[in-house]
Amino acid sequence: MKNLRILIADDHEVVRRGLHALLGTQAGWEVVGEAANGPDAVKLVNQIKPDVVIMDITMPVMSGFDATRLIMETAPQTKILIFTMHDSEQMMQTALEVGARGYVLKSNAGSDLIAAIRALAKDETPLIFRTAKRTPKIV
Amino acid sequence: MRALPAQLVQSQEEERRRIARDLHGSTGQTMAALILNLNVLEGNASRLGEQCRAALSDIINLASEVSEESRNISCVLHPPA
Repeated sequence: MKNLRILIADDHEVVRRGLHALLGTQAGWEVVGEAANGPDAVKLVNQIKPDVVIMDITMPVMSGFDATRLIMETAPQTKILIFTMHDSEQMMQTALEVGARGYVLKSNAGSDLIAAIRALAKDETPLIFRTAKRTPKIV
Repeated sequence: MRALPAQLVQSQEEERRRIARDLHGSTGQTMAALILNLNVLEGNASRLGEQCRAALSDIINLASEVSEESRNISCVLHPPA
């Protein structure tokens, strides 16, 4: 079975390292690249064509939303999961509008992240995950 | 003299904004990385004894609570626009 190829886009190195370590424990998942800003994320997606991008919102040079919008123009098959500190309905709505398939709060990484990526890998109905206290929304 | 309270309010607001920014941008990201790494350990917890597994589970829950509290404090200090 083909590996799930994942790109990490986050300007915090410590978060990239943590993500890399956690995703590396999952059988059949492979982290194929890392970007620390929006433009690098867009460039890497076009070069290495990952299946999934884990995208931070607040990054230097270009936000994760703008990067997602550009990726959707050139590589619309890419499944983008927003991974952010922002617990905001408005941000979540924007994520949907730019083409992201999921939304996971960094504070809930432990409970939601792996489940969200599994859902994306199965091409299930896009899920948006809020805080662990709330039920995931189907949109 | 009348300008002083306004300056104080502005100064307080700037301080609140700075603390909120630090909580969001630094503490929050570090806590997220901590939780990610704790989950790596949890994935290998079958090798640990029962007491250690329970302790690890508590640590993960506590880290998640600290992360959420830090995010809430940041939002109270400086609500997102």
